[in-house]
This record gives sequence, structure tokens and C-alpha cells, in this order.
Amino acid sequence: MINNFDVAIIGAGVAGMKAALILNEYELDICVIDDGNSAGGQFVRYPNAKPTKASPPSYKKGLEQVEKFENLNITYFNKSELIFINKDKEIVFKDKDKNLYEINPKTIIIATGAREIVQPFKGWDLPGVITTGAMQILLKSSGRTFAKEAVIAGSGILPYAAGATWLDKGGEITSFYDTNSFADKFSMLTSALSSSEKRPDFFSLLPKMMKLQTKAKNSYRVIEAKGRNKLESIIVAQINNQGEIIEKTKFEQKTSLLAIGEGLIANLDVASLASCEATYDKTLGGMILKTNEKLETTVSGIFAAGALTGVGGADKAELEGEYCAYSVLEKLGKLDIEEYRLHTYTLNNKRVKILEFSNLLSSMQQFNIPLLSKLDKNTTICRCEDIKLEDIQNSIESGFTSINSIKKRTRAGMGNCQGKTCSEIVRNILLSYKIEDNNSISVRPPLRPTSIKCLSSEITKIDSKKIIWKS
Amino acid sequence: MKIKYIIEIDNKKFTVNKGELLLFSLLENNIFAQGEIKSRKRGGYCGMGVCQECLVKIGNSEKLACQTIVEKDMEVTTND
Amino acid sequence: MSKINKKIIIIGGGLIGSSIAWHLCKLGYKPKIIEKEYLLDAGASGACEGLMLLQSKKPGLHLNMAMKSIEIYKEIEKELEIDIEFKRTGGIVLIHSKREMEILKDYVVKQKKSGADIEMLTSQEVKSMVPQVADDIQGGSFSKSDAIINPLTLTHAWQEGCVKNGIELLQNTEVLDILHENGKVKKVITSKGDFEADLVINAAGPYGAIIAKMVGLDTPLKPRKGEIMVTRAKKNPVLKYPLLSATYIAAKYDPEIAKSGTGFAIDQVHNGNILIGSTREFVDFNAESTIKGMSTIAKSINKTLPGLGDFEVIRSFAGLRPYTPDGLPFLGEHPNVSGFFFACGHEGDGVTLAAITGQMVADIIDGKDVEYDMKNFNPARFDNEGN
Repeated sequence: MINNFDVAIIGAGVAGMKAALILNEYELDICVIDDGNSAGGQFVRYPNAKPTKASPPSYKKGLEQVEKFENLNITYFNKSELIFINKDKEIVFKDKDKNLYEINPKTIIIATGAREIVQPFKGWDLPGVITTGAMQILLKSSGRTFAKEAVIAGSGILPYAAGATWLDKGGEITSFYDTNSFADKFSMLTSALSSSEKRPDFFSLLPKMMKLQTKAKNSYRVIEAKGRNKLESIIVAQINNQGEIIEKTKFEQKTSLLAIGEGLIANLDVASLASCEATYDKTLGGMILKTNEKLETTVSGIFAAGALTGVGGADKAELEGEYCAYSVLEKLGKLDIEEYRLHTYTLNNKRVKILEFSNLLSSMQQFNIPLLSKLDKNTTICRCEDIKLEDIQNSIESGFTSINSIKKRTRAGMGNCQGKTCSEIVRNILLSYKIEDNNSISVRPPLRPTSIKCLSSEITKIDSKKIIWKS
Repeated sequence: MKIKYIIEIDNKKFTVNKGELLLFSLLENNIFAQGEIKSRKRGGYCGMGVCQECLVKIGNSEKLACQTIVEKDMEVTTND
Repeated sequence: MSKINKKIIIIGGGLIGSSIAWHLCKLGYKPKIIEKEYLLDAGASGACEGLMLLQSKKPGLHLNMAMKSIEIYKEIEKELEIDIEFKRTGGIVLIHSKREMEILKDYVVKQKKSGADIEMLTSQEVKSMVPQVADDIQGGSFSKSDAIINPLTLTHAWQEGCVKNGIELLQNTEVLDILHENGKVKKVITSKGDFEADLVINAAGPYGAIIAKMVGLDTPLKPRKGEIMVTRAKKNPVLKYPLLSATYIAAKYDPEIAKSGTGFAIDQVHNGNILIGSTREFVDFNAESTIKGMSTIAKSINKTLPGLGDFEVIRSFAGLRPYTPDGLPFLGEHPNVSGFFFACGHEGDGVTLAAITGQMVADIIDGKDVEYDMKNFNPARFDNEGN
């Protein structure tokens, strides 16, 4: 007779860690599964690196959180990836040594975070073009830069964060092309400063952001990356709302490294495979999960926190991690409805404020749809399978008008990344034809590439009462 | 004082720092991984294990360079 | 009645339905295809590996039809304007045990009598042709006529050919009922309207029994789920030949072997991915990939082809095969319902037999003679067995 865990938390980022810390107070059997080397998610990476001048206060707070979390006496698998999950809450995952385990928890909190999305341009798949997230990760892991100079581009806050870190590590920034106008940025800044949560971070980033601003050209987009086998130069221009280049603004800039960041989208694959329904909300970053006022998904007993309910930063993630913890406790009967309401009352109010910022951020990170339809036909859309814009457009014009049917027809989304990089781009290409597809790309196991050897190994069912793992 | 390792990438020796990501070492030395793309080498893009473009072979196993921390005497192949 | 005026409705636009439509079109008919999904390869046709292995076909009728069908693909390859990726790669059956060797040796003799060019391989020969194979492989059999094809582009190619010739294709259209009077079909009732019919062709694959029930017929055709895994695409050829586990064949003759599993089928497709299948399960109409399915397939591959152990699976999918009790499809008009024509029940041989099925069915409808004894495919052949 195997004992099931009371709760499984998928993702030990800001949301997951907070949920675990709260739930641990109630003596539940908790299992946390995370794919990172250590906890903290994408926000707090490499906690062994000491915080520097450029680290925002929330980063320092995150480091403290990681330490607290890693000192908990709970079942925690790091460097572990989910392979399979279903709506009956059966979860199969592989640990860092590629052993397979199965758990069947009573409740689940999915906090799998977000990934970057970039509007493609001709040549965006040349070596030398990376995301701002990649730049941050590489800088944080090594504490130094991997090239002398870089060009930063994009919209929202990601380019600022990456640019600040690059400068902090002694790198040079040749230019910064910001799609947003000065007015947009000003509203983002005022909104952030009005939030007591966000203010400290922005203040700490301000000096670097000002330095970055001196290299900035506002309302500029990268429209092409050029080079024979790797990036050698970029072409930038101002684009109007009809996707047309504004006369006399176009010019070429030499560079061998471009870091571009335009926004984030939620990682819904685990939730999708568990049959949680998703919905499209432009004001919250695109495809997100349908949740009720308890942050419960359409599958009873599965809750979602962080980017999955709307892209909105670390403070939203932490709040919702806490929120989901209370929802789980109420579900398991550890809190009655009155106690639950007491705990979540202030959280609810805070959440409303945070969502306002999310909305603002999302509005600054929209695809320029008219520009998308004017792209060079040979622009790569599905990077994994080398499918070009022309192929996608031809199939739409032949009557394939959904992400999943385009996938079957062109192979876009069938490659190694299983559509994580291109499916949102295809959604926007459909929008350029005034076709809305508000479905997720179909998700099938294994959730992460897994070797045949690993899949053939025995799956060990974990008894929640018997073992406590510390990775 | 950083501890340095020697690793092999495509049969050439490189010096890397302990604790750094393999992708960092590749980019620093202008080496681009195959990533199984048909037309040409890609290198890294997302840095977080999503795009699969920094796929390399370490020994017999396929690994993502952005998810791999360098180890002493590592043998890396970037084209397969 | 002229050909053009004959009201033919084909229920099911997959490999079988599309092939029949295309062949009928060539003979001057204008059938209507009714497909309940948007994509024609949404069902079984889109969930197969595209293997056309003669070696897995029972000697006699089955094998003969398969051989003829593969020849047809070769002939029509150029006619179809989309690349169907037809390749006569040859294929190998891997033999794991002495008992399997006994059964296979006998089997191959019978297949050769049917005219197939198959030869036995020693374990040394297998190892040189399949470097990833385990050391203890007993041997194998090889046929240079085994072939592979892309079932998705094939369905699409037939579809395009039909549409170009003015065949009406109704997608996202579900058949709700079939009106019949005095033992004759009259009308097909669908979610998008009613259509008069002189002839209704049931090419609904695993849903064949549901369609047949609409005209009052009970048919022992059931959905049988098969799961397949896909590895990362490799630029360089890893597997030169599609491979079939002898267990698949031997299981039909020895219940002891059947207990150990269903074996596997594996090949490297045009794009470079390696497709690995498959399981066999009766689960109604639920076509979901399961961890048990993936684990079962992975175990058998890892045992026989340990050289592939480090290859990473990026996704899996599942489909429903149309199963019949004797492994042969239902082809032909049912004696009790005039105008109701069966063309379903190909189980795991759909892609191999789609070409010959299309040709045969079109010929029968056109009043021509066919070279096979249609008694074998009689849709009424199980009718008195209290199914």
C-alpha cells in the first residue's frame, strides 16, 4: 500500500518555493520537483554567485528564500524533469541520474514559469543572436562576459535587466534598440515606482538603466540580422503601426552579438498534458490557464501559480505561490472556508494591483502584426525544422487555419522543442490573416526529451511516508 | 583564483573555468553546436533548455550545453 | 446510369477512403468524400509509421495483395503531384530466440512459395547490416522489396488529386445516420446536410462498426490502439533498413511468445526521425499515449537494439487500428444491404494495402473482374458466429 503525497509542487521557482515554505508549516507530505540545478527558477539563478551592485533587492530576497527552501525537510528532487502527467494526478519523472519515479499526489501546484518569446525577423536564427534571458543566465553562471561588446534590443523590461547585468560585469554595449517609445517607458517606470513591491528593484536598477538609456534609440526595431555563417551586422529601423519602415530611419550596425528580449509566455506544457484548460488573454501575456478564484485549474485539485495565470514578474509569482498553498490546505480540509478567506483576503487585493502592472507590461510587448505579414518570405519560423514563413503562409492560404493543423501540414512544431519556440509565432501569423486560434499546441509525452534507455528502466513508486530525498 | 579545467571540443583542447556552463565556453570560443538543424550550425539561443539548439554530444549522451556545467576532461562533440 | 451520375458517398477520408476516391475518379466517377475531422489524416492514417513490410504479411492472399499494392505505389508515384517519399529500402526481421528462428524459417519458406523474395540472414550478417543490434541476436530475414512511405503526404496527395478533378470533399462533417429502405441504401444524413446515395462506401476505419450499425449491421470490427514514439531527427542515416521484431510474426503462431509482448517495428523516416512502435490494446476509442506503452516499447528496443539506447524520444502519439477477427479487411457489398459497400478493417496493414484496396474497390464498382476471391473479404463472413 503506497502512501500518496498530500501535494506535489512542480517547479521550485519563486512561486513553488513560497508554496512549499507555507505548506511545510502544516506538516503535510510534500514533494517538490524542479528541473534546475538549484531552486530559484529563472529569476534566481546560481545562488552560489554572490549578489552584486546590479542585483535588484528582490534578487537578494530570492537568494534568502532559496536558502530557507533548501533547508526544509521535505522530499525535493532537483535536476529532475517530468516525463508524464495526467488528469488523475499520476506523475512520472526522471531524476538527475535518469532514474524513473512515479507519484500520485492528492493535489498539485503547477508553477512552471515562463519562457521568452521574440518576434522573428530575417536572420534571427543566425548564431550570435540570443535572448536577453540567455545573456543573463550566461553572465550569472560565470560572473563575466563572453564577448567584448553586445547590442541589446527588444521591449519591456527584459533588455534593461540584461543590459544592466552586462554592464555590471564589465561588458560594453554598443547600442540599445528599444521598440517602446519614451512615453511607454515612462508609464512603465511610474507604474513600477508606485508599487511598494517593485520600487526597491527599480531604484537599484536605475543607475544602470540610465547608462543604458544613453545608448538607446527609442521606437526602433531590429528588422534583419545579416552574416554568412554567424551574425555580422543588424539592420534597424522605426516601424509604424502598419508595419512600414518610416522613411530615412533605416540603417545598418555592425555587431557579432545581439541579445533580444520582447516578453515572456507561460510554460503550459505540464498543465496541458494534465488536461488543464487554457484560454487566450492578450492582457496577461497570451495563453494562460483557466483558473477560478482559488487559483484552481479546470482539473479539480490542480492549482496554478505564477506565469501560468498571467505573466507578471516575481512578486506576482510569490503571492500566488502563497495563495495556492492556502487553496491546497482548504482542499485537503486543513483550513475551513473562514480561515481560508482570512488568509487570502489581503492577497486578493494585492493581486489586483499586480495584475495592473502585468497588463501594462503585456501591452508593451505585443507583436507588430502588420510587420509580421511584411517579413521576407524566407524568414525562419520553426527553427527546429527550418520551416520558413512562406511555408506557413502557403498552408494557411490552402485552408489550414489552426496551429495544430499547420503543424501537421508543415512540420512546424514537430521538432526538438515541440513548438515551444514557434507555436506562438504561428498564432500571430494567423492573426495577420485575421484568424484566431485560441488553442494550445498539442502536447504529448514525454514532456522532455528522454532516452530510450531511461524509458525502458523500472519506474519506482515513491511512498511519501518512507523516504525523504535531499538532492 | 578560479580553478581551470581542460576539456576537449571536437578533438581540440580548451581551457574553461570550473562551474561555468558549457554553452558559455562554446560561445566564448566562437564554437557553434549542431542542434540537429539541417541547414547549418546554430549555437545557443534561449539559454534555458527550451530551444534545444545547443545540443551537443558528451561521450555517448546527447546533452544541452546550456544545462551542462563543465567537468574535468569532458569530451564534447558539436557535430554528429 | 452514367458514371458521373452515380451517387457514390465515401465515409472516411483517410488512406483507404482517399485511395478509393482517387481510383474511382480515374475511372470517370465523381464520388463525394465525407470526413468528420478537418484533416484527412486525423485518424489511423496519421498515426502510423509508414512501413510497408512484406515480411509481416501472411503467406497467400495477404502477401500477394501487399506485393501488388507496393507495385502500384511505384507506378503512381509520379502521377501524384506531392512527394509521397516512397522508398524501396528493403527490410529486416530480427530474430531473438531459437523458437522464433524455428517459426520464421518455416514462415519464410511459405512466403517464398507465394513469390516473395525473402532470404534468411545469419547473426553475423544482421550485425553488419544493423550495427546497433545486441550481441545475442540469433539471425534475421531480409526482403529487398520491403518499402517505406509517408502516410501523411500520401493521404494529402490522393486528396489533392481528387479535389483537382472536381471531387467534393466535405470536412468537419459527421455522418449521423444512413437511411435505407427495403434492404437498399437511400440517403446519408450528416451534420452538414442530407445526401442521396446509390452507393455508400464504409471507409471509416476503426469507426467502421458504428457506421455499419446505421444500416442495421453488426460487424466484429473494433478499435485497437497502437502507440508510437519519435526520436530527435538525425541528419545522418542511423538505420539503413526498417526493422521488425520477429516476435510480431511468431506471436501469431505460438501463444507462449505472444505472452512476452508484441515486438516492435522501427524505421528512420525521410526527415531523419526514428519512429518506434508499437503496442496493441483494446481500449475503445481512447487514443492517448501512456507511460506504460512507452515503457513497453522502450524495453523491447533497448533489449534488441542497445545501440539506440542513448537516442532521445521527443514525443509519442497513438492511433486506433481497425481490427477484425481474422486479420483481413471487410471489402465488398453486404448481401443484406444493397448499395452498402465495406472497405475497412485493415488493422496494421492500412498503408500497405491502401493502393490495392482503392484499385480493387474501384474496379468492382466499375463491374470489372478482380483477381482475388472476394469471399475472403466478405463483410458477412462472421454473421452467424454470434459476435
